[in-house]
Amino acid sequence: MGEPSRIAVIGGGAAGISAGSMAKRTNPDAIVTVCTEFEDVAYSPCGIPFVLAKEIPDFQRLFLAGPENYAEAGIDLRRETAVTAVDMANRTMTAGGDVVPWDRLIVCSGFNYLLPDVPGHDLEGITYVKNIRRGMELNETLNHVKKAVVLESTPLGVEMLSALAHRGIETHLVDEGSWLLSQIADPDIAEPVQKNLEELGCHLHFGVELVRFEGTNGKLTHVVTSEGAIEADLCVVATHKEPNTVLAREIGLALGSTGGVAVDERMRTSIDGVYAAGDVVEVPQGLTGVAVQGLTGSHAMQQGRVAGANAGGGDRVYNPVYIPWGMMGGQIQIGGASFGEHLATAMGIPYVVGKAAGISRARYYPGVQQVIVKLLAEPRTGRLIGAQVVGGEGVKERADFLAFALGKGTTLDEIAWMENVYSPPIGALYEPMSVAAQNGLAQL
Amino acid sequence: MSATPTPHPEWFGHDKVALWGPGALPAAPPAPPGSNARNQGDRALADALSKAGTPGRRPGDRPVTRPPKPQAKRRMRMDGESALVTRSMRRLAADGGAPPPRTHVNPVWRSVLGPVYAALPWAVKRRVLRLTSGVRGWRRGQ
Repeated sequence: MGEPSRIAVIGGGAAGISAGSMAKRTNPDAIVTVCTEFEDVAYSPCGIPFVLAKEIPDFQRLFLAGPENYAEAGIDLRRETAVTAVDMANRTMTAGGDVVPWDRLIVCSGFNYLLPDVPGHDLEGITYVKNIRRGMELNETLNHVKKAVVLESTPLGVEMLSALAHRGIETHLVDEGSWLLSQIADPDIAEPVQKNLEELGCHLHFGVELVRFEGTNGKLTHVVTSEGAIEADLCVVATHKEPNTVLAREIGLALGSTGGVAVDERMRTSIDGVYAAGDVVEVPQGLTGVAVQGLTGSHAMQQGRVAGANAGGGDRVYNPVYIPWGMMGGQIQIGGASFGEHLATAMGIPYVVGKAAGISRARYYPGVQQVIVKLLAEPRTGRLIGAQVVGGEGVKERADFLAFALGKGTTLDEIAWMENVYSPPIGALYEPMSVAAQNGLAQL
Repeated sequence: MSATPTPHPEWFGHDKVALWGPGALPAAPPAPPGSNARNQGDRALADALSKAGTPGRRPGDRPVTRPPKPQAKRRMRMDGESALVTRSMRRLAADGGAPPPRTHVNPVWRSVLGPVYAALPWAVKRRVLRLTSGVRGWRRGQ
């Protein structure tokens, strides 16, 4: 027998951990080493805003595994171990002072937030929500915060707006865009969420540019915008997810048009034996083939599984993405898949719209909520090209279904005549997606 | 070998509790006290609370970056995307009574390349997008 394969993973987030686990599962004889510069792995960073909001009672329940579990599984997990160099000629990497040899390398170095590059960006009180221990510290800090600003209405920004308002903090949003979640949602779909956040006491400032941060004794006091200064003890930066390609660039991996690492459908990079997955990579959008980057935790996990399986000697592929997304904004659910009207207009994609306001349960059943569905389709064929949904419940399942339908080339006609669950407590007689599709057919 | 994904149980047990317990719900409760996961959570919390409010740098306290100097293809995409998105947002904002966006747009894209792109038929745009996306080695989506 030859030497066991050595598989090294850089990064311990969703992609890195799932890559390491899948590599070990695919090739149990392999020596799998996972290095992360942080203290913890296997927790849900996406849960942090909801602990901060006090909707989840404690941080501990966000943990899914302990380091002991990885030792038991035969994975050499090295925490607080930054990888500082990769020697491609000798196939080794320097991790926390040790030289770790590898035959297959998986780069899952994640993302960082885009720096708000204005004066004062290093003041105390300018905060980022990403790492769980820093989230725990922030939770303590929030007990003393009276006024806060959230920078940009990205999904995290909107979750943090809801969280801060829920804690009784005077909360302002500063956003260059014209409406909430403008990077992903249409204004008519975002409107119910926007109204709900205003009802919760959030002050929303759109079409407003960040000018600088001001402080006293090194501590933030004001966020200055093109429309004036906002008093603030704290500013949560929720800007674009910039791929962390420092090591990837040193290694010489090819980058794509988003700045993320270019990979093929087996998550192979431009260098033989090196894979990449998660927020550091870009993958094609299914409809246009255009590269996209900075997706969700579920995308990172699946990409990590594919990279890990292939690094372990398996043969798996990752498909182009249709990006189902969904979230809570205040007390409203919002989501979608592929394009909305805004992005389709920006890209010049011709479309017709079918929209309907339906209900989530039978109209007489307690707890019934409105569900608004907006479908975009090709004018000639009626083939679905995008969808957005907003409502009180049932958004996630519809977004998942619509993303799947998009991947199958489903048409408005097929959705208009689809079967659906009818049961008063969980579904209305008329499925809102189906009604929206019928309305869309009338536009063809 | 087959490219079809096969189901695999997760490593550390959150699927093993699915459909167990009284009433069979919730399918996957959080890790119970005494478990490795919960213990790690307790250790993390104790450490974080001991540091809260004290000065000093810690891992992950400033996960922020300036993007590297963009390569030509990224510069082209950033400028183009910004121009096209801003143009669309301006139009939809005007229709809905929302304020105009405050994003910065490259003047060449605003006055020359944006209008040229807008004038192309979708079939041509689609080819341009595919050719310039830099994506290689993927099967096509729908």
